[in-house]
Amino acid sequence: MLRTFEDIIYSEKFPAFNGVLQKIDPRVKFCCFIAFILTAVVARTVTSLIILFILVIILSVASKIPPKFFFLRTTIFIPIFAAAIASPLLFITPGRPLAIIGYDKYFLSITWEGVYKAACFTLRVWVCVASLTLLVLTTRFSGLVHALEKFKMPKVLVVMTAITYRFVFLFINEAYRMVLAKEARTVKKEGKLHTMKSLAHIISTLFIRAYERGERVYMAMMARGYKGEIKSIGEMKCSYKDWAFGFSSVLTCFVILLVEFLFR
Amino acid sequence: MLLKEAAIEMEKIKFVYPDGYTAVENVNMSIMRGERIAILGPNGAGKTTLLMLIDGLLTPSEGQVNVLGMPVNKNNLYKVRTKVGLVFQDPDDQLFCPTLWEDVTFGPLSMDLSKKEVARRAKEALKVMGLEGYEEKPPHHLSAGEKKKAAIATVLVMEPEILILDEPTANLDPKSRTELVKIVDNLHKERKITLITATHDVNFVAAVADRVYVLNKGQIIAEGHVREVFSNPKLMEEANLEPPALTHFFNILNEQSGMDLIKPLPLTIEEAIDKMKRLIKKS
Repeated sequence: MLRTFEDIIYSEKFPAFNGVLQKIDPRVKFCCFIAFILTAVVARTVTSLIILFILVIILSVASKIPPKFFFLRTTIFIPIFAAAIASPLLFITPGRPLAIIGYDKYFLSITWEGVYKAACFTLRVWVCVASLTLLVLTTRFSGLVHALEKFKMPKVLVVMTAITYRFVFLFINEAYRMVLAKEARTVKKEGKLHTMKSLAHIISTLFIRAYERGERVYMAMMARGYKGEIKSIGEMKCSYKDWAFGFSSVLTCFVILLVEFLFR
Repeated sequence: MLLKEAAIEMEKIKFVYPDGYTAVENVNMSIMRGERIAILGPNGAGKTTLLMLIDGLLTPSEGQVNVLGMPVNKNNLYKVRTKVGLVFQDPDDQLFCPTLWEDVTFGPLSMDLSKKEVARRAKEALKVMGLEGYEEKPPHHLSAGEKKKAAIATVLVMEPEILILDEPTANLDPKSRTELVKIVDNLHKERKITLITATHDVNFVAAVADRVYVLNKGQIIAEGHVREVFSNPKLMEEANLEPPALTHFFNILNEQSGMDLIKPLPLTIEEAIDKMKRLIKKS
């Protein structure tokens, strides 16, 4: 499981593909998907959300993300959870009844309006999750970090994000090795309490190791003349293609909202 | 002229960690420019602490460190650190950026060089270490050998006058090790870099150093030419070390034959072959 997890997050397999989104400047992509998400949050009609849904699907196909992988990645966890949260809406929204469960005085009615609201909510969540997933899948992590930097995100947060990403698997692997070492010395069935105790030891050791590594990384930074500021040489340039992509997606979002507003 | 200038001078250095543990004590060292030095010592002898003291990452509790004639203190800390390139033992400590390119440019960018100059230096450093084409790679995708070379590149790019390697052969396979020796040797020859290697890998020492300081329990117990130190088995034993296999072999040969058949002791295979041939011819 660790391996697959590591593969998905670390391999940067998809950013290397020769797709549409991969060629777009990370900053532009960032803006576009933020626009998508904002539109999805503001939109009130299923039609607008379905248009966004289709747009995201088209983009994922154009970026050569395997459809099955993309579907599993975006649908399995959060949207299903969202659907569960939205389910009460089916019953509590007043309106025309669609179906009635129960008998006599004790019944629940599902209304058309309730179905509509729940569908909106679930779709909205899906569009948001899928947009972010697509952004992360098609962009190298360093590109994302740079985009954040260019958007004047506080430097401390940017550096912290970058360093966390760099070291998180080192620590997962370290924890994994410790668990293996513990298993290797376990020769009989243990009680729950004992297992919990040894887990606590592993966690505390990991914490100390993380602290010590942090110290050493800081020392290594100091040794290379770190004065409290990380500078970068990377200058990103937007080509007309980037501008065109950014402009058209923001325009699409705007049109969706405008049409919705006019025909409300 | 260049050789006579002192690169590093240490006088009666003592360092006590905040928890009261004395890591090094009464250390005197004098290293000339362009020398190749090895600091040889077992695990926990205080090698890393000593290196950090040179780079000003730690401040000695007693004594004074001078680097290239400058006292290491708060005022010229950055100057010292640009002149001294310290490569840490674990490359994962040294490579902390999302891509190798950013890691390599990190040092020179904090030296306030122009972007063009930084790019030039970074390209050159990667070329010297044989890492061309790895610019966009995330460091966690590199092999141990590549990581080590990358860590050295991140330091070389600052064009230091003194290169310090902390356990450079740790976790390296034989091929990467040989490669590393070659690169380090070239650096010394071409750039006249002062090379300091801290290690317990005795087989590696002869290839990268001329003079050795033997460190044990925080104190320097011997100093001298590689050959002298390795021909003193008692000293090696005292420092929890063993002489390299080759030297060990000839030491025993000399001992058992009761004469000094082979003197001075050969340090490399080539030297040994040469000596043996001559011996056979003589008899």
